Amino acid sequence: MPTPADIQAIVDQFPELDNPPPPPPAPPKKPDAKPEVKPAAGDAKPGEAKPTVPEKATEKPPEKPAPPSAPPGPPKSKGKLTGPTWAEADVLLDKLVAGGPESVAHLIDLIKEPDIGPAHKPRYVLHALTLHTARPGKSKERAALVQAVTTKLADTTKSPSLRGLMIRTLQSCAGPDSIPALIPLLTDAELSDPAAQAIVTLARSSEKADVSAAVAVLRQSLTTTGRPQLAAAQALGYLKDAGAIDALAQLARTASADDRLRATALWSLAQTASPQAIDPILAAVKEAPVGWLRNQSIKAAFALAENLPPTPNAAPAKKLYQALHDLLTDPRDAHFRAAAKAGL
Amino acid sequence: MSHSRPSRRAVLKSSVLAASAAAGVSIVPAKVLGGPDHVAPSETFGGALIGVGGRGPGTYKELSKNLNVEQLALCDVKFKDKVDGKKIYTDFRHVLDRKDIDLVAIATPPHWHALISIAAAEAGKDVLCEKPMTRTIGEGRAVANAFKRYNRVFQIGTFGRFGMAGNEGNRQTRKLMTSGLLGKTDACVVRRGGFKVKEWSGRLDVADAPVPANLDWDLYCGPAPLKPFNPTRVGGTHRWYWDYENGGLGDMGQHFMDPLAWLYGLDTTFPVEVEASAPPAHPEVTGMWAWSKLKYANGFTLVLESGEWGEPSGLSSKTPKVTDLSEADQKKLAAMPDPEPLLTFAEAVKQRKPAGGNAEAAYRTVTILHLTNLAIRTGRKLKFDPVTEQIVGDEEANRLINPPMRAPWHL
Repeated sequence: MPTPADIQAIVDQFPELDNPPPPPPAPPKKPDAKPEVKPAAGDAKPGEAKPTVPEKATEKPPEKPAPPSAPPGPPKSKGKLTGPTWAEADVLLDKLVAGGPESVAHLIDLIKEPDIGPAHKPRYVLHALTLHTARPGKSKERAALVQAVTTKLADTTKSPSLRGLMIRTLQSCAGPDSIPALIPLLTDAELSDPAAQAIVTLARSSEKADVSAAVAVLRQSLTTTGRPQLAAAQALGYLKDAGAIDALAQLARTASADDRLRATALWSLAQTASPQAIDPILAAVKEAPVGWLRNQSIKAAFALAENLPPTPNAAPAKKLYQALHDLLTDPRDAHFRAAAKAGL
Repeated sequence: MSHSRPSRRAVLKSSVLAASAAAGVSIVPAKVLGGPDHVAPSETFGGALIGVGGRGPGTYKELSKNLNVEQLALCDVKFKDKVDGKKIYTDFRHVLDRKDIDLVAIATPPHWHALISIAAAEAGKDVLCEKPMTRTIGEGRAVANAFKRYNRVFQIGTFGRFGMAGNEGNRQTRKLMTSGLLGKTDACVVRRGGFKVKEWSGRLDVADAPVPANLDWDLYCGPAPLKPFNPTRVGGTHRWYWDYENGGLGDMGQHFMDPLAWLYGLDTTFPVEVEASAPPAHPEVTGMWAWSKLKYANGFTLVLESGEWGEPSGLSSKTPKVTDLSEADQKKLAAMPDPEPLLTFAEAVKQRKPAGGNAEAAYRTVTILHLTNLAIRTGRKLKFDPVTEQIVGDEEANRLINPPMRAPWHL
């Protein structure tokens, strides 16, 4: 089994950072001036995209290399990401993961924040290992990676940003079996967002995923405040949780709540694909003042009409479209009304 | 929110109606008044720019081309110290709430393109959106669906297809490629260089820093993960991050692919297979790559080569020609209608018809770039189903097609 020193040696074999091209000169700034937009003849700032596609008609597509945007300047620091070829990386990564979860745990412990400059490698190697083990025939190696990441994720002495990286690592390569490890983070103000997103992703990865424990915590989070509440309101929609309809409907009509929360609750109601969501959404369409929240209510109504399970005559969906068509009579709503008519 | 300025459309309507009433005329043609299906030629539009960075002026200039547009709002998350709620905003939702704004130019970093475009369509606005159209494949589908549902005009901020379509030979090539007569082909098009791969590969030697006082960092991040502020995450170098853009492919790719997509009819279909040569991807920043090969169902191959890393693909262009067809098929092709002329944004707004770089075409073009980046980011050859718009048999790769956004943002 590779020792920590061996893991460090493997990491060291990944290439150093490269020299960046010289930074583009900063545009002149007038900090106190009011922002103005004055289109200029050359509309791209230095270093910014300039369309190089010929506007003139050509018989053939452009094939010649474009000239470099800036001449290479003298190297000042090494900062650009470089990488080995996959063939080179595969050899190193196989060696690393051969030590099982312990080796991966050693690798994670090598990530020392702030990991900038030469210290960037362990984070990069961890991600390369994630990609490497996602390949066919690497299920044992992937299990070792997931086990190590799950263990380290529970270590509350690690920074939120590092734990966020581990959550996203699970999101990219783990299966629904990793959902339980993420559930405790749903109530964490700093980690509830990535945890909820990861749970949603892992739940989508298999029809057999058991999300009941996660859903219970998310429903409970609807009664809290801040990021966990917001993340829960959205995650329950992604998870199509019809059991949360009453609580989501309550949030949607709470006038004192942030519009973003109300709009999210409406969106999630639409994702439940349940006829029970029709009335709360239509109530929001009727009651919301003209503007963002009302538009989001209408959007939710259209989404629900599309999501509703097919029935003979599509009666529930038609009820929604008809209600929208009848409600949206203001000339400003002409595009909504036309869309509702098209749905009938 | 209230604004004293009546919309030009309202003024025009009321004055025409008053004049009509005085003359005893009770019916006024819609084309004189403007409206959902007809826009009066002399009408002045209310315009807004969302994302007032380096590309902002250029994008707004394109929005205004051949239209009378009065700029009514500027919106940027870095305007916390300047916001006045009348012309200067930090929150795009307040701009879209204004009923006197008809046209919106979007030049934010790309992780906001889809959400703002869709919200603008829902608010009844027409949009000119900077490239790349979106940050993910799922976002592209959602934008295309929204603009179709609400019948709003969308034009992507790259215009190479218009030049391409001005040439008779090119029009015949498109006609051939979309005719269905070509059958299986070994045609191949290689686009080499210009992708600014190294320039927009991420730097990893810049320390995080306190959030500037004038910046709404949470709103900047929006649907992307909320991470510690780093000065390279804003101000153009956002291109270095997967969270906001997709490196040089995101920056330059749609410029190069847009004319090719039109010429070869790639904006009516999707690749079915993609593979790339690149080092292992970094979790945060974009990196180098050598090439990607995208195969279409009819055998057509599109190759993107960076010329900045690794070995070249070894492929060279072999473009399809009308003479590849049998004589009988050439006659059939000649009898088919020529490609529809492409409408500029101004023409599309006035005629209430899709623009040349409309949302569906832009989505199919940007998907070329997203699939290339998916192959780079997964390090694997991928198969794409043009019907379900999902990767086939690779569940982990599919997780990058339409990942859940950070609340409260959703498609």
